[in-house]
Amino acid sequence: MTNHWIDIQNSDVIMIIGSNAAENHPVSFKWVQKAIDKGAKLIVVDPRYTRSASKASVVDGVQLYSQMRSGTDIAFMMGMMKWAMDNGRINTEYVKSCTNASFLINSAFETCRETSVIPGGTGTGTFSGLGVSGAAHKQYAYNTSSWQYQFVVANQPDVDTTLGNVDSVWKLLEAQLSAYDLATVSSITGADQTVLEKIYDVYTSTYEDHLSACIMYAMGSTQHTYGTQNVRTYAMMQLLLGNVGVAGGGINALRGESNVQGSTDMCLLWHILPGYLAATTTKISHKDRAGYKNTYSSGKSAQDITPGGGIGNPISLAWWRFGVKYIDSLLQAWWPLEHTGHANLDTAYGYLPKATAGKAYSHIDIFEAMDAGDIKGLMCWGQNPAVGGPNVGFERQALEKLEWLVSVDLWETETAAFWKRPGATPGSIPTVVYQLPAAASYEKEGSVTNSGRWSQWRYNALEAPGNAIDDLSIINELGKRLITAYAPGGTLLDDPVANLWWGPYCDPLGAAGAGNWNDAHGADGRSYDDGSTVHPNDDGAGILEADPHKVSWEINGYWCPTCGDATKIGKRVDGFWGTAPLATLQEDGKTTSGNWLYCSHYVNPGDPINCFDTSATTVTGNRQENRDPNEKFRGDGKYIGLYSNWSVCWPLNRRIIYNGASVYQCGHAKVGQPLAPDKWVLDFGVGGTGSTGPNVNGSDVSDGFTAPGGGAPRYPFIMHREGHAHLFGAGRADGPFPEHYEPFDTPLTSNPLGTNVLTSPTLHAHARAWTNEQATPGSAEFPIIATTYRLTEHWQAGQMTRNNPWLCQLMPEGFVELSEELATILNIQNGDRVEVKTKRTEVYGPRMTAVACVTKRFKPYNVDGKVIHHIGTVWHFGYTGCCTDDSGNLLTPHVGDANTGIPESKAFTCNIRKYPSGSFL
Amino acid sequence: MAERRMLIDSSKCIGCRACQIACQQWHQMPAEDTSFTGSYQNPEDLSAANLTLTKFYEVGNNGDLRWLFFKDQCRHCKDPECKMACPLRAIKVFKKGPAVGWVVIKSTCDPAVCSPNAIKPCQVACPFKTKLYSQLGIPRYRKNDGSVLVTGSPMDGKANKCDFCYDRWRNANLKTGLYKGTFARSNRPACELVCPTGAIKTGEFVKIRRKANRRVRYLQANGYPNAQKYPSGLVTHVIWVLQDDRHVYGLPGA
Repeated sequence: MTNHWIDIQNSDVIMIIGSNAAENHPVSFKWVQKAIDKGAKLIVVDPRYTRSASKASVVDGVQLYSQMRSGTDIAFMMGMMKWAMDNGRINTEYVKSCTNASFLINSAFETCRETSVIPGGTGTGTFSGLGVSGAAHKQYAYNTSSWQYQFVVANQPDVDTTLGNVDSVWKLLEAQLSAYDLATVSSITGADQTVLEKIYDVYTSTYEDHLSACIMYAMGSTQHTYGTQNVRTYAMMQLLLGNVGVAGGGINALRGESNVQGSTDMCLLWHILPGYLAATTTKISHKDRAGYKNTYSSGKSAQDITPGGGIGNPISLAWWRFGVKYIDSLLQAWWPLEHTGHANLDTAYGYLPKATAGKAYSHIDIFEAMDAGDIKGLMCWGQNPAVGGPNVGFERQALEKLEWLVSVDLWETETAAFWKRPGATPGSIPTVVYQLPAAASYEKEGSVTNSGRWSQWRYNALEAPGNAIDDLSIINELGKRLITAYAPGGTLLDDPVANLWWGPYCDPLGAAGAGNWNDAHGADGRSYDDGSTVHPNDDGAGILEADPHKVSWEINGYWCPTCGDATKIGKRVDGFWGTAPLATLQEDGKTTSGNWLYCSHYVNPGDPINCFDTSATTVTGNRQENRDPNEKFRGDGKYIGLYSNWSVCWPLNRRIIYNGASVYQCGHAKVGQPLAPDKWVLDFGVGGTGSTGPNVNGSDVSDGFTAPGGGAPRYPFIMHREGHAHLFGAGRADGPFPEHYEPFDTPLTSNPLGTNVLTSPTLHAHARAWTNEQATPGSAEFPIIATTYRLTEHWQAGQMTRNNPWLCQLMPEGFVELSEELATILNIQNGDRVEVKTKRTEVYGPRMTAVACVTKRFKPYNVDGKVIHHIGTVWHFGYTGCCTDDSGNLLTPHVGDANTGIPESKAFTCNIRKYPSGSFL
Repeated sequence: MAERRMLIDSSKCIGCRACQIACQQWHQMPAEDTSFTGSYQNPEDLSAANLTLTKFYEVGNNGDLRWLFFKDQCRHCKDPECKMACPLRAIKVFKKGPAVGWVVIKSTCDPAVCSPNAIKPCQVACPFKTKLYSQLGIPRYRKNDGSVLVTGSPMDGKANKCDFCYDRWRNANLKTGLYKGTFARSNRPACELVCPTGAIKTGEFVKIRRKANRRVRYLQANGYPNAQKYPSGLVTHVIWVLQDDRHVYGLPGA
């Protein structure tokens, strides 16, 4: 989320698209309802009428719910952008001052409206630069050399603030959007034109400075072969309306689990290191530490990339240039110079694993590699891919190729039980399965980072049952034993593990060099199942419970002896940013930080502890434990629900990111004053220099407009080199602008947009998937569109809810929702058992059956001039637990997004019949 | 102590059924063994183990489609006919305390009072035909391991209904603070406490009525011309704001 849950109450219009917030984030509706009570309008866009849709506003007799065929968000949103442009619903001032609309692009660049196409093809539908890819998971890839800014002076992109230049981003966007008129959008999405226009009208009304709209999205947006571009359309729409950085605005990713934000921050994903630093690869620029750091620092000092280059313009902060400090602090945390004895961090950098350049390692790729026999062992940590993965029929078979599998979980999951699943032959499966009982969230202490980036400390409410211990203690044991196993080292491959410093080098409770995360408080006196205080799996080395405070301390970071300032050594770093010398994270091992974004989460400047001085014994200053239910004081009483002293929020406790865009920018008469005075986030007063600056009088922590503590004005989008938000986003693998493509599995034979490219040319699909998983486009065997979703009553892959009889009582079986019209054709009654088949079930089995839910909430779609039926099903179910049924993921394809590899679970084709004797459509 | 009322605002309900489970959890009722019958509504009706139940209605079609939710439960009549009908005098009305005027069946606290074999004139007398017990055969419950328990609840066959969680406000352990001078938020009925959108609210008798009237007027002006207060005739302690006519919900006109 750019904003946070509570901030939803400040919106004037809320659009739920690609999520079903009432169903999957019911508590978010507390804030949605508050906004509605204040007069806000709620728009819901979804393939079916959902629990969220039941709360859609009625405006002028039109209910603001639109059906939209799964996988057509881009057309829906591009249509809205075009409508906004055509009808003057653009916040022009914002677009010019905060986005790259005025920037000029290399004149060789071509939009999808020009004649650039797939190699060997004809017509339109791709951007310039497409060529055949060498990577195993892609057919085509773009050469992005034409997707660049024009420069007159090096590092000073050329701009045209009139937005009239044909090479300007604005004009190129206008050209790209030209195909998305109302009739075309309606034909692609199946949305009713009247409703469509009403929704466009209501949503874009927030282009006025004092109004804001927010978008709530989730997996319905992201789980597509163009999921990244779906989200980009939301971001672009918000930028055109001036809705980013303001209260009640933003694009808000509703995270699917309580700590998904936190685990992503800590590099859950393969392509990043903690804090979103790039994962190291075999490419030449990553060959040594200097080269890696150069990718962050090269040409990125603030002043020399000022767009337009005019004297007196604000400057760009280009925040990523500080990546050089963050990577060094990370290396120093993992392989501290004091421990390794190295002269510098170059060797430590060499220890980082290097991904093969051009190769992908996402969930999909892991299972493809497993199937190919490349992966021998798997640890599933609170994860249940045998239910939750795409094409679980294939993934369950891939698990059989493993030598060993470890399942760390609360129950015997479907994944742990894959070898005895229905239809399997246990005797022929060689995999050894280990199950480690884990503590549940209520049984362990630690921090959880919510969707709004608030890192909140939680305490265990009770002890874990039986022999279960918390994940941290399990990984602490694993780490300690791996290090012991690799010591004393000797070969280069052993060194990275043997030299790994396990735990914070400085122990917040005292001695330096503790070398583990063991709970320094000692044994907690807990008894295990056998009545002993020794864990039954303890081999004598001692299984000690780990201390999450130490982890948090290491994540925050501290000053190291290399810094040379005796007054600082061992003390916590105040933050990742500061004006005074040595006030912030440093290069070359002077500081540590396990994750720069969280640096300052464990700080109390008034009471620093020196951990190199063993006499310091008090632990204070964990801001994650802050629990002040009051807002910071605001003299004018216009509270917006920041609650800045409740927990702590990255970055720098900034509750609304890019909030520098919530004030008028340099050059405007009201510079520094808020766009929306009644719900201001920042207010710098008249002339931009007033006393109500950052951190004063209940303001949020300033982002961009000026540096904390004052200084020269900055462009608001500080993470981009040029300080301007990207309407033209050259960093994407599948195009700088979004473009409508059909899903991998489509009922159509040609792109209804009128182009010559059917599916995304750069989508993520291995050769196996192209052969075994794609239904022929427009095939009569699979004429129905399907999507998958979740329920309020069940949680993810179901172990935590399908083992609860109360919740099984509410939703005891899997079901398939289908329209009354389709049910009539197929003679299916409400409550009948039905079978759904896709190319995946045909190739990999097993059969997928569920109960029919015949409903008015699904309607047949008029797409591209023909009637197409649409169904949906849930994927929570599996074969272990208190209530069981087939997972909807037996249906989904093993293909993913061009940028992230996230699977396309939300749009595919299928066929359905009454089970067991009915006929398919 | 001022007499209290509960307002259930169906226009704010998102059908999440947290109320249903919170009720079951607080009363420690077993889970019924159900199957999916083609609706999100489950179990099919109120029972001795499900004292409140969210009912789902699909109304209208296409652009006029509405999905309506109705949290069903005992209405707690001002003059409860069930009380008068019970030959065992098992139903009582609180005479004092925060639940003054609310109606409970003594079997909630004393299972010996009502009998599985009793004819249950309370059910017949209920002007709303609210289902008070599981009478269809032997109840089946679902256990933790997924197996089915054919009996086992002390409530089997007995009348049972919403008791306004009177034991929550009586429970000293929950009294973490006063709420508007009456009783702690955490002492409020379990369903009200967990409702994410504030669709369930208890408050002073007269204020709740005003609140309901205001809400009905708002809805009538904002796309729901048939919005109404329910029940419209009998005076009850639980009142609803409905988004549509009561007939759409199949509710009797008491």
